[in-house]
Amino acid sequence: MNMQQNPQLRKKNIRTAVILGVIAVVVMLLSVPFWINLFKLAIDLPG
Amino acid sequence: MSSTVLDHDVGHHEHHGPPAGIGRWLFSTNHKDIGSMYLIFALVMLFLGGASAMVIRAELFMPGIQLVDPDLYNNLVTNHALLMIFGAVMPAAAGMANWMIPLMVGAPDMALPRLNNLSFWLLPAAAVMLVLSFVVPFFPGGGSQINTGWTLYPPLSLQVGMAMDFLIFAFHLLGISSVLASINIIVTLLNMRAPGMKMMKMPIFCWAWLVTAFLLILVVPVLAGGVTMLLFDRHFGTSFFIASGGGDPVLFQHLFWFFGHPEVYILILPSIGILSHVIPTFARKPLFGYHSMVGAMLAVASIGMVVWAHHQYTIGMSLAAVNYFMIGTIIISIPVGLMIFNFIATMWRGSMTFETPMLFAAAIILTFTFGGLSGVMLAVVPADMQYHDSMFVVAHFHYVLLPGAVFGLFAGVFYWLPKWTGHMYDEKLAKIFFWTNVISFNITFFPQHFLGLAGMPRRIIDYNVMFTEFNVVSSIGGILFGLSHLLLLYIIVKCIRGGEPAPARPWEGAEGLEWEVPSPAPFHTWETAPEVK
Repeated sequence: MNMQQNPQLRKKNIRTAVILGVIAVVVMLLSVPFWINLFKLAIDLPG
Repeated sequence: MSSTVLDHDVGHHEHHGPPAGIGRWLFSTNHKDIGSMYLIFALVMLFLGGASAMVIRAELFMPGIQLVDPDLYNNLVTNHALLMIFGAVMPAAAGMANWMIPLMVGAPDMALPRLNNLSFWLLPAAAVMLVLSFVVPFFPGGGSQINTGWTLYPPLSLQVGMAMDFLIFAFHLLGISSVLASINIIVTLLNMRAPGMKMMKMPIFCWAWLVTAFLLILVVPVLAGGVTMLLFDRHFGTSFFIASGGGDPVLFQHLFWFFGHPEVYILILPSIGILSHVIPTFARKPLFGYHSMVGAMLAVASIGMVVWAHHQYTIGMSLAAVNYFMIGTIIISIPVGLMIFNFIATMWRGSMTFETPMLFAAAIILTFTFGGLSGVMLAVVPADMQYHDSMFVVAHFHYVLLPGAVFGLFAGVFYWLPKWTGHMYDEKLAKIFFWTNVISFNITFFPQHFLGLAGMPRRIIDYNVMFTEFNVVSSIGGILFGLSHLLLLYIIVKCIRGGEPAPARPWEGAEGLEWEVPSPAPFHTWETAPEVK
């Protein structure tokens, strides 16, 4: 895009993108302990 | 959706059009160029993935081992799935998102154009890794071929040679590309809509992509975590999935399917979005149930995220867990049924014409519903114990993914080709393509239901002679199905090179901002935001 976004919109876009990126990273980092513990819980359920 | 344009300014900036040379493509930040690159990339991958499928069907034409050895067969099965899912369908949907979302919401481009460039160019790098994972074993010291299928289950995936490492890195690159593209789409839809376009006035294709993008952000990182743990088990002495070290391979199955099941909706929802434009256009009626459509997509995404273990009924879960996953899975048929109902209600008493996009839409309603019904059969635990790992499952997911994702993308290609190229495609050839494609698809996959019910296992190169007849029919259909895509290629190339000039609104019933811009869409559009009432 050759057109410049207005600075406020640009800032808002980057801020939203950073929030979403942080969510993605947090999901990845939390997934390992979360799944290991949920898995342990699931195999301990009475069946 | 409303699209009354009070003020718009399009097509006035051709004087600063695209830069010349290869730089235009390498450094492009233009959403239309990047969209085109995604679509071309997807088309190439479609043919690579299709070629591997045709070798598989050729081998299964007769019982016994004819063309390839069992290792190569397993490698082809893996390769076919990965190329089609990550190489063809997801990039094609992303290409359409890139092309159409800014046009539809009245934005001059995606919110983060440089990030858009990076998202695309990670894909060829990932594709190289993916292809290397296929070919590396053929070189001296390359190790064994990948025989795990796309699910990469340990302990098998721990035993494969270095090809698996290439594949894991391919997954990482694909994941980063998908997450970055999703972030861009969400930011564009949240922040870049034209004045007056409230969320509930957004075109349904945009809603479909908003839901898809959030799904991607929530599930792809889990896959990234899973394959990273796999990499650590392979090379750094950890035992996440190694039973002898205190780990459990079933944990990987949970991690994989937490991504893998929502992935089905990631593939299907963009096509549902496309249908929500195609059907109203050719029925010449507004979409029936806009709000319920949005609700249904949100419901499919949220319920779809919590039912992953229906892919793993046979691992020995507790009865409570199995019941939960069964009921949850069957509940998904409610919002999916609602979508189908909305499509039928949109067609009801409409002034329908059957141009190629609408033909594909009608075929999708029939065949996708059929795939959904076999899905309900597979959701039922005691039945699934019988069908599991049989050709019935192969038939089921091809009936879901080909109509639900691929046919929807074909409908989108024919619907938007005039806008992309400025030319009308050859309708007669397109209809021949449609009939060849849909009939041969059914010849290929319908008999596989019977093969599965009779007990033929999936992912095995050889089979009992009692399965021969249906396999012969399926293989003939498969080869025809594969070859029919050459006609698609011809139609697209012919349309790009010339043809009847397309007006800005080539379809009588089409509505939305994207049809306000000329065809082909100028290099820069909506530099002045339109106002939507």
